[in-house]
Amino acid sequence: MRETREAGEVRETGGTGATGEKEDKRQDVILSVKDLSTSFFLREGEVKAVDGVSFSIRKGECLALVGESGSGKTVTALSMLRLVVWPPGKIKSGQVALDGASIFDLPMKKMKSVRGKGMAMILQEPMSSLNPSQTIGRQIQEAVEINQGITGEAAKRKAIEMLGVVRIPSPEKRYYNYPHELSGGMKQRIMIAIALSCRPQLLIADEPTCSLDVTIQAQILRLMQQLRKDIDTTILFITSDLGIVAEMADRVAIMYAGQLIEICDVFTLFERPSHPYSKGIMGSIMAMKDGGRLNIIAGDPPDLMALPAGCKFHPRCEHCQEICRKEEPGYSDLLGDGSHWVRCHFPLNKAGAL
Amino acid sequence: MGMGKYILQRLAFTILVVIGISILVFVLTHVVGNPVDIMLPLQATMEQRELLTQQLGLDKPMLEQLRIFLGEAVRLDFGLSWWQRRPCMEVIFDDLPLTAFLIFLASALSVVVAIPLGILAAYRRGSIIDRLLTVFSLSGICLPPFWIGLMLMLVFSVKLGWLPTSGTGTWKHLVLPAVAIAFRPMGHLAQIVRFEMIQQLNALYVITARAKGVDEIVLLFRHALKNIMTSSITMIGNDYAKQLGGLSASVEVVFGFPGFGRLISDTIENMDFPLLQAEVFFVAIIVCLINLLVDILYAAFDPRIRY
Amino acid sequence: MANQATSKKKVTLADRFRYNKAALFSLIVLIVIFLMMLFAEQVTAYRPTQGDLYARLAPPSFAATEKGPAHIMGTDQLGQDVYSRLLYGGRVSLTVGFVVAFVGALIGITLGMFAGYFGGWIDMVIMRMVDVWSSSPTLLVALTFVMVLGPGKWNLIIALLVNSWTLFCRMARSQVLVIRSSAMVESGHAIGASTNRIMFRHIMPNIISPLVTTFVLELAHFINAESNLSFLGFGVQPPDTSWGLMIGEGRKYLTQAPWIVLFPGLSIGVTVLCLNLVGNWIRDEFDPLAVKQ
Repeated sequence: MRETREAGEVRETGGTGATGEKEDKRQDVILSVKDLSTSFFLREGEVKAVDGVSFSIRKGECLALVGESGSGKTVTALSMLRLVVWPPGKIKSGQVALDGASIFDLPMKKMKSVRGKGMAMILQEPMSSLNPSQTIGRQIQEAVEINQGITGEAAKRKAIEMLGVVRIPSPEKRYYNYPHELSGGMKQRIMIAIALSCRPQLLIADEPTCSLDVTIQAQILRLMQQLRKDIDTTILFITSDLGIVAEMADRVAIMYAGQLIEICDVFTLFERPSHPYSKGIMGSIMAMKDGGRLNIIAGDPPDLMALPAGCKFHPRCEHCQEICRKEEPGYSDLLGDGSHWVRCHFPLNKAGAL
Repeated sequence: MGMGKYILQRLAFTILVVIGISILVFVLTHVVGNPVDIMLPLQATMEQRELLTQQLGLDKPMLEQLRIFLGEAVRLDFGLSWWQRRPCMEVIFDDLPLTAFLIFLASALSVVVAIPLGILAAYRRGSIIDRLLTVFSLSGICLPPFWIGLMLMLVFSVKLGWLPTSGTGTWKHLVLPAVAIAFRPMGHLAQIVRFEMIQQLNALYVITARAKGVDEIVLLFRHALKNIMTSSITMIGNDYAKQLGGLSASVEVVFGFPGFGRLISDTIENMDFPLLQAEVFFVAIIVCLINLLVDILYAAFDPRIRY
Repeated sequence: MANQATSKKKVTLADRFRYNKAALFSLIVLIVIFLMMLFAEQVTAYRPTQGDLYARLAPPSFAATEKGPAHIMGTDQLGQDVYSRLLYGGRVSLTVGFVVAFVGALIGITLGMFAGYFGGWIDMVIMRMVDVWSSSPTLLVALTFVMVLGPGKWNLIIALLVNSWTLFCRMARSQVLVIRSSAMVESGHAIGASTNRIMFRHIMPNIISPLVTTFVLELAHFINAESNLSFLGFGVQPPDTSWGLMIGEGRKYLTQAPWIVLFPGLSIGVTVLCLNLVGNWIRDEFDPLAVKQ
């Protein structure tokens, strides 16, 4: 109880979007997202896919964005690139700054200068993420031409070179293949090649392995790790697989029902998760290792159309108190140095006991 | 399956369709209708009737008649037109090229107008432009083409005097009929382009393309357009075939255009059985060949299709 | 930040209309057109064949003539009231369209359900027929019917029926295939329901929405087809009239009396347009299998 009260004392009272400010002061921040909210307006009502998300990424870092499907990870990434399509999706508020320059203030026509060179994205569904009527070589070459300022034969050589970089055998021949002639794993390599050809300041990888089978998953991950070492990019890695988080990430941001509920470095998360939900998902991989069942968080995943008042997680939370039902928690800076934020009225202590 | 084999298979299907439809028309004209009753006046004598029956070979058993008909049809010999007293083939080939060209003009016009408009509507989905274009394309589908033709004639020929009201000979004679015919295919095409384009713009590869910084114009015309071509071509081919199969008749009648459509209309009016059979035979072949051409074009636009 | 709870709304029929005002408007227009035709005797002052040779080709006017109320849409070459003829002719146009679509639906759905339900060679034969039919010059076949049967309203209906079953057949078959593979029918089999009962108890309710869509769109199509053939003189014959025939008869007087042609054309356009909008709306709103735009 004492520990909890301590945590409670550092709780911010500033409200939903008041976090992230301190984090920005740390050096080398390449991307900062502040109070980002994106909703989909359906007839059944508003779906708050992303609700007041703030975080930042330092140069050379790999931040993992973790959450169940539907928690708003992909929409966060799409919003950063302003790729949310209206109707029905709309970015309601927020600021995204890449290398200090605000993106949301740019006219839409200038966005193409940010996309690619600024941020490139690998989508989670390699099967349908490539244009079916263009050769893969052409699609890589296009990224090269747009973002590296070379054209024609030189760009083609570069594209073939990129095929080699992502370990596609006999790249000169494969250049002329169409997407349907390639396997899922191969297509995902092409997606990676396209993203890398943009030479982005920030690479967003949206569950690049989720639709592939296990052996291919391992290959792609190994490739990404290798590439990260080789070319030293900054990565925002979106995933729902904590095993991948452990392998890839420096820091982790956890999303639940469109909100960022905890952000800290990967060791902290694995050792002492502070949000009950984080603890729950950590527990689920522990249970998996022990041969137990996966879902040990009680209750149903949230219905984004009918979110509860107060803390969004309270119906499933075993530590739920009266205040959790009524008042939405703000972010607390657990250590006071901006390295560990949690959005909970009663963050868990080191031992994880209340 | 190889391309050649596929084409052969489709040609076999074509032959099946042509024979089937020819038999159907033959049976309809010989069983349901009686050519002799139609050709002779009511007060004709029994002898006159029998003589004509014999001349037309109608006294032979039905199957024998059908065999003779098909045998001659294969040699493209449909006999003399009752109405024009010339070989049916000659009559058809006098009029068919003109109408084929007219409909080609209409199709070209509809493609040039409808594809950009459909893309624009899809890109600006839900906007005022989209709604106006939707109303415009739906009107093209809903208003009868012969009425559109009459209205065009009223404005551009009668009131403004820019273009001739009817006839043929110069390019000016082609303008109004082509525009009147073009409205419906234009509407169909604009609708399908809009629909398909919306699907494409929601496809993930569009996000990939945008994420690598592709320009929106390039995205629409170099990436997405090729992917909607298969359905567009189907629509263009279908509409062309339908127009050639008699749909253009009413517009040709309006403009006194001496084409194939009007020939069909006159054939029915004059109850010219052999000519009708020849027309059905040719239109069936042309429709099937157009479908085949459409299928072959598919492969050019969609690399996933290989025959 | 006390209560941020969002609530989920149920989509009501009113909502479905609110999101598509054009459909609502179209439906109202259709109802008005339909009622006017139904009560044509009450809302017109002249009989459709009541000519007045002294009032030939009179332009539209709201001023009453010495012989009776105004000819609000003018008169035709025989001095008949265009407005009256429009309503009585519309009855014929709509009846032809409706009968063709309805009988076509009966034939097509029966065949399609057989094909989809039994599969195998029955399916193959029926669908081959549809394929062959779809790549044939069906308009010419319809014209052949007209030629051998002679022109007239009922023969026109027979001729148009040639072409009205294929779409229903395809639609019914694909719906049955989808539903057949679903668990619903499986469970029907498990409890020993007879084939007929499964067909009609389970499949019929599910194809209602695509059926209505197809029906409305086909109705629109055949109103147009009727006008086309009647315009050419192969359909409805005088003294009966229809919109197509009115245009066909009036076109000779285009320069002197364009109103004879103008109003029937607009009537076809508006009716068919409204039917299309309503049909698309039904498809978008109520068909669970249709692609959502």
